Amino acid sequence: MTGDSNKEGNTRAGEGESGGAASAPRTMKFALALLGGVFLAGVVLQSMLSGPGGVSRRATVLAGLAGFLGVMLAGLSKPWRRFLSSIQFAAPALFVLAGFSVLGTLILQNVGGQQLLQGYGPGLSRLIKGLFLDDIFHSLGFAAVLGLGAGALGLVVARRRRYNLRTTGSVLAHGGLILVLAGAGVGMVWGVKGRIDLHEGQETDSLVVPGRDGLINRLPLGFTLRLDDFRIEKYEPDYSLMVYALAGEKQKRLLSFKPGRDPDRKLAAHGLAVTGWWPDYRRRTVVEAAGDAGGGDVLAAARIDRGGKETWLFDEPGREAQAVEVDGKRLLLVWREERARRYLDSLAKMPASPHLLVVDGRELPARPGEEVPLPGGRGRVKILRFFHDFVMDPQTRQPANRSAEPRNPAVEVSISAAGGQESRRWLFARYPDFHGRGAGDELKLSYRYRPGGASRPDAILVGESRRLWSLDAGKLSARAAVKVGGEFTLGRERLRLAALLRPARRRTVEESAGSREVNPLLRVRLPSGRTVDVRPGKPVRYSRDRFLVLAPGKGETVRDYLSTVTVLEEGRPVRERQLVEVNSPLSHGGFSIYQADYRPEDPTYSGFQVVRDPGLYVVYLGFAANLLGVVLAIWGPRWQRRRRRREGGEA
Amino acid sequence: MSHLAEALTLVSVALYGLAALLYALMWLGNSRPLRLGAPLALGGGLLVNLAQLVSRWLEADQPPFKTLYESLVLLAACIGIVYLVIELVYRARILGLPAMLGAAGAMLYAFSRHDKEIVNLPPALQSGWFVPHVVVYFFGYAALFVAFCAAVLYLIRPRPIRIRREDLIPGEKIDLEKLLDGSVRFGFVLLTFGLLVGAVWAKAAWGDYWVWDPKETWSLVTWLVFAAYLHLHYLGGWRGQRLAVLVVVGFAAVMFTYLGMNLLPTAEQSAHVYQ
Repeated sequence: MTGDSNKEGNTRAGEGESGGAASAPRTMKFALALLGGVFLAGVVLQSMLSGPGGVSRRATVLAGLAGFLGVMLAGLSKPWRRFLSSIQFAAPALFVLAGFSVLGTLILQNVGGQQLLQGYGPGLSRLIKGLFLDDIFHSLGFAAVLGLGAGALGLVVARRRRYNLRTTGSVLAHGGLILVLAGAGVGMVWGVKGRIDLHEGQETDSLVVPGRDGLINRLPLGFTLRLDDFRIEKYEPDYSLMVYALAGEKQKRLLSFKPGRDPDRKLAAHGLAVTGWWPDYRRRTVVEAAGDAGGGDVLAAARIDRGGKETWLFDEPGREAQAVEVDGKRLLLVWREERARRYLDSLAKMPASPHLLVVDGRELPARPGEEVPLPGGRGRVKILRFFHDFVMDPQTRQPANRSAEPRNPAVEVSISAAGGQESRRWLFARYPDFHGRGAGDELKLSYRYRPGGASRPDAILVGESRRLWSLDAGKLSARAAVKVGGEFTLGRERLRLAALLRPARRRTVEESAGSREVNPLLRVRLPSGRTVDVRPGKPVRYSRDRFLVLAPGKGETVRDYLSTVTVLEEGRPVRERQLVEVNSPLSHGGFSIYQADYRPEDPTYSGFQVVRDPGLYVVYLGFAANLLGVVLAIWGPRWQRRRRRREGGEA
Repeated sequence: MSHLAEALTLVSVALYGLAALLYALMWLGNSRPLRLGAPLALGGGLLVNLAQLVSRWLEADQPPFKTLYESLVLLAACIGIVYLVIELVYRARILGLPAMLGAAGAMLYAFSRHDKEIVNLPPALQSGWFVPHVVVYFFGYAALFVAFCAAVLYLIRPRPIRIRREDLIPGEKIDLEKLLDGSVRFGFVLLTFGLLVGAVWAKAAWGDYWVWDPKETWSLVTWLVFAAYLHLHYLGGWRGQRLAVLVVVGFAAVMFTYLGMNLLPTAEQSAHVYQ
């Protein structure tokens, strides 16, 4: 830096103070040394104070305060005041702060020693640890340097000056930064930051604050917070077909194709073609008349209307008739009267229930809800629930039936042991060993399912003679004529026999249940000519380096996380059903409550960040002062010149 | 993305490119068609660019500033607008060529991107602060880009440009330093505003106004570098070459903040990294 330029700068600045012009580079070097020294002093202090959990936030703030007060004390001497409020100190300080900030993004922050060792090797990681650069922004050294800077800002603000827009701007800009740092310090010392975890219906009157050393403190809120409900709002998924190329470990998306909207030629460029698109795919069986009966056994079908809903009954050659349940009553279609009679005879010989619990090789027929004594006086067992095709619904996390067929029969049973203990378990007909024996449980229990005729029907529709046979405990109790188009009663429900078909034909139709993308399926013809079905979550690899994915086309699927909460004081609700969502916290009793967490596997859970920050408004005041100051300092002189010119012109 | 949008991108690339060519021709010789044609091509490119922004905003029913592709389209528009304002205020066309190359480059990069599809906004971005935060920052980036162009020109030709200077800046001596300084001051005000708006927004969204997220930290670094510029220029009397070098360094920090976050080891936890 030359003396001339310095002089010019000072003249323009109009604030007249700076270090000696000729010794400027030396002064800057001294400033750098001072900043470095203060940082190292902070490092030394931290290594003396530091426990396994690092230093406390209070210590960090105290280090900053020490830096600030140190500068203020030094400022009592005029040469030091001049130096610390000069550009020769300001410029190095700005670069040093920038340098520390860059380091904080280059060095992994707040990771374990092992990860540092892996990332940087033994020598470098020891240096990083030694200088506390692995949590640089909370280190005493950095805080002390910040405090030093804040002190220098204070000296700049306190300087005597002639006030104009520019100097006022300078005071506001620098003073604003002091306020920001002071407010942040207040927040660190007297602020509270913790979390609240609640499930729907739960309430709490405290927040959890993670302490150092992994200890957890509970602090009182001063009120009670109840989570009324939590829901996740989702975007329409808007599925698109993505074509990906594999290149080594990386995947590159070549194409995103929106079925039904994008032109087919987009896909054709990759040798692909869409042959079918169903936003809400389902397969449905359509039954229709199949012309002449001809000889021999053929499929017979009856359509029953139940208040607008249609149900089909089938009598299939070579298979046991499948019953349909109406109001708890079971109805069968048997076409030939003679076969119906034989069926009735066989019923008498079958066990009363399709559910058989097997204990020590003995079959115990059991009906859901009925208690069955266990052999040997070992207590009782009861079927609580039955699923003919058991599956865990991934969305509701509840058991459900996957299909109408008895593919995976399962029962949940409760066992009351002779000693009075109750236990529950699931039994699967197809997996007799699964859950057959609980841990520490001597009872070996398995389950057999005997479908079809074993469950006694309550009525048989005899197609040939158009009669409805009513049964009571498997025995014929009444016969009544039914007409096609006529009505009959089963249980408490009125049914209409809409059609009787023989021979009938079943046809499977693929269709979309609606236009919303609930269960999308895209059928694609591959370059090889083979056709594949692409569904969400099931990528299809069709060549060495290409695969197809049907995925939400717009990335993010969650629109919002919404918690409805109620604030209670002394047991009485004071703020009822308030919405807390991202970007919209709830403030009460000095705390701000932020929507912060959710768990996909636990849909009734919601996590909140809870913050009390007494320094916040000081920080905001600092922001406003800084912004206003920057604008005034930068554009003020221009405005003043323009005004002077205008006034001069007018004069 | 629709074919219309792709076509619009290419049209604006072509128009910005044409403007760059016309501004380049002005270096060789001036004529009325060039003086009229260059800003017209710029204006045309800008209109198409803005039309693309607006149509995407309407189509997506959300501010189109989420993906890198979208931000590049915004950046190109900001460069066009900032340059146009600088040409009008300083009556200087000397930065027309680099500024238009920058705008065309941004659009061309946008065109080559694979993230052109509209994506849904995550909950945190659905905030009234989103638009001012992003728009202010990108106008700031554009201003600092123009300052960077002036700095590079200054470093190539530190002496006042004599060749047909009347063509490039009618009636006035070209003062690159003045151009550079004006752009930096404008850019710095916007950086300050963007930084503070971001802090206030973060407080509303997460409860912390500052968490040392890498992008946050780097935007502080750029702010500190340009604060150092202002101090060194106005108080330290820095002029000329070293000031230009400082602007180049500052703009490099801006570009790293914008595009380089993926390269950082600490980027994983950032809320700001483009995919």
